[in-house]
Amino acid sequence: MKHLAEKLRGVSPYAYLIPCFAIFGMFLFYPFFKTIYLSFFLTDKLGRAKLFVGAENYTDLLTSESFYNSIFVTLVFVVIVVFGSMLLGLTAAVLCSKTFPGIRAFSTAYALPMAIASSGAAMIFKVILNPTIGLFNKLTGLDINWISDPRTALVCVAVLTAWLNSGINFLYFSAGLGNIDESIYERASVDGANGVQKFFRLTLPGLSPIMFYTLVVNIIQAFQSFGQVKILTQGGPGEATNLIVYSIYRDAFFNYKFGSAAAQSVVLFLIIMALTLVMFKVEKKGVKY
Amino acid sequence: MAEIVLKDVCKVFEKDQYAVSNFSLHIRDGEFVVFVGPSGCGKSTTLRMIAGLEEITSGELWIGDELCNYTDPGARDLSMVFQNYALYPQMTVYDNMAFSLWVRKVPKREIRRQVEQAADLLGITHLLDRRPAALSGGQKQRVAIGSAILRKPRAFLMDEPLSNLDAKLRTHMRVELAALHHKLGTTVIYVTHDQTEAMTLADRIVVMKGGYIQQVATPAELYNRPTNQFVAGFIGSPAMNFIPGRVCRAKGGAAFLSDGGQVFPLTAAQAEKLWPLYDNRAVVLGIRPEDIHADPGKAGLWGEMRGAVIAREALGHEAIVHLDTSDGEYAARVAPDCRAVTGQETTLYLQMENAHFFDGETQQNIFYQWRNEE
Repeated sequence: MKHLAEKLRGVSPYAYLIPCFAIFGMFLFYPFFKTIYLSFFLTDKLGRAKLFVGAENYTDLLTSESFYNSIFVTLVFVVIVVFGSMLLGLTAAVLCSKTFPGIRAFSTAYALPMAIASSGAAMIFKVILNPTIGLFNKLTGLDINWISDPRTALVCVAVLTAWLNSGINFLYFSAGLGNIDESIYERASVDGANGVQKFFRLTLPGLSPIMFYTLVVNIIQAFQSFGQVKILTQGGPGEATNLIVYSIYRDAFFNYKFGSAAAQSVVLFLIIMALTLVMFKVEKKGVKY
Repeated sequence: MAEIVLKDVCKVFEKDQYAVSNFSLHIRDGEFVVFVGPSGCGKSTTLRMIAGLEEITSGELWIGDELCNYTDPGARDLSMVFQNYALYPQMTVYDNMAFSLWVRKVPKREIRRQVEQAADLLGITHLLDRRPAALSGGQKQRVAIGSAILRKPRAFLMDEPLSNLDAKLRTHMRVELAALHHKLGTTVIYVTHDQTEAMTLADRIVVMKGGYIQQVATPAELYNRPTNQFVAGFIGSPAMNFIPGRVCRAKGGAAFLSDGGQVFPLTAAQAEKLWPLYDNRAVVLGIRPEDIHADPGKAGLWGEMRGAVIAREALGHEAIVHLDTSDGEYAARVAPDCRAVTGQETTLYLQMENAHFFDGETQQNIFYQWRNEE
């Protein structure tokens, strides 16, 4: 009896981990391995693996112009989104770092995009960017069909995404700014530094730890953008906004090519993983103090 | 280098809440002035107004012959050392020190020369490549001072620069600061709540309380001629003993009768001044611990104080005896061979010539004016 109790005590720490691993297993590990498994098969319309084709799904992808286009479009999109959302978040956070009347209203406004569903925001943008009745063309006096023009569609989706992602960046940067000791700004004032010098020599380096974290999260988030593309452009015009995630969706649920979609998912996973690893390598050199 | 003049400077943070009131002071070129007072007395606020980190609500601030109320902090040509050192965490010690020259677009070679010179002066040359996180408190302190002296400003402003150091290091840095001031000869305005720092460093001390200047004087003057009971109690350690009571007639003149029933004789000069003015009015007798002795000397006028010894602190070269009397607890600084034993009744002797007398209501030193005239 005593022996059993001792044995149980040895096992109990692992027992506490079961709920966590059950959830991870069900919603993360199982889909992940199932995706890898599916990427080696041709499937039926319900997504069941029917015929093992080995690496054929991958070789098809690597010879497909459409796939290379998707990767290129995605990279451009990610660059615009990450740069835009971080710049917006940082600017807003710096503006709101000083207290003044109405600061709470401004802070809420800047953090708000975080709480807006991407598809909802896309609906609103669709109206704003409408070539005939849209607010944007009316205000600027331009006559551009923003969403249907291949030259502007990607930028529109990217700007919308940047704005949506800027809310959380605003929070990250606000927290980061709060961690910077106020007295170093005072010393810099007495030392004679102007606002620009303070920003580049004190604020930006002071944000570098949070900056790195934000960058990683933003890149991953940008790669996974879907709702706004689905609502605003459906990957078009042509394939101008056919981001990888949208391309996966289209292959799986329109063309019923689950195997190809799974293969694309795996490639996307590899790209994001490689980028993250590279960034963590670089971080050790780039982040100061 | 320059003199700094403050005229009726006030600071109001919230409506009608004066943090500093009518602060007027003329700081001479090269002088070491210390602002001292309990926390919240407005000393740091005053320093920050001089630095330009706080707006001056009213009054005038002159640095050299410029009115500087609205001058940018950077344009006032002052250097400041902060309590927490305020080193730029992401820069090396070298860059930290070079920063104020870098923003002034001084040529690189000149910056290097000056940083190395200052680092050499403070003995921190070996630390130049480190970041602040890798420095000890004392090293950070040196870097902060090094950054301040490097630019050769018109004045140094120091806001409790030693309060984050341990006692031994503080004593050491205090000596170094004094030596540095002697060497550089630049005006220093130094804020502290530590009266030892104030007494040892200052040419002149400004004692503040509740936003008002209580007294501006040299350390010796402050010690010997405090203007009121607050200054008398604030300067000196252990603090001056205060015995509340009143003046009454006694044979051959007047005597001081404490509220606890002890009678202390008054010198002829004291009696002459106190008797007519303070007949039956509250007076506080102040006596420094070193003016209470275990044995009365031959010359002079001695008052007797009887009570139980509650503690005796032997400090080697002297002993502090804490006596519980009918008027409360009092401290006496006596010779180490004093026979007072904890728990026993004993009599100590007050040297009445050195006693101070304060008005019971206004708390002003009754003899301040008179002693000044002397």
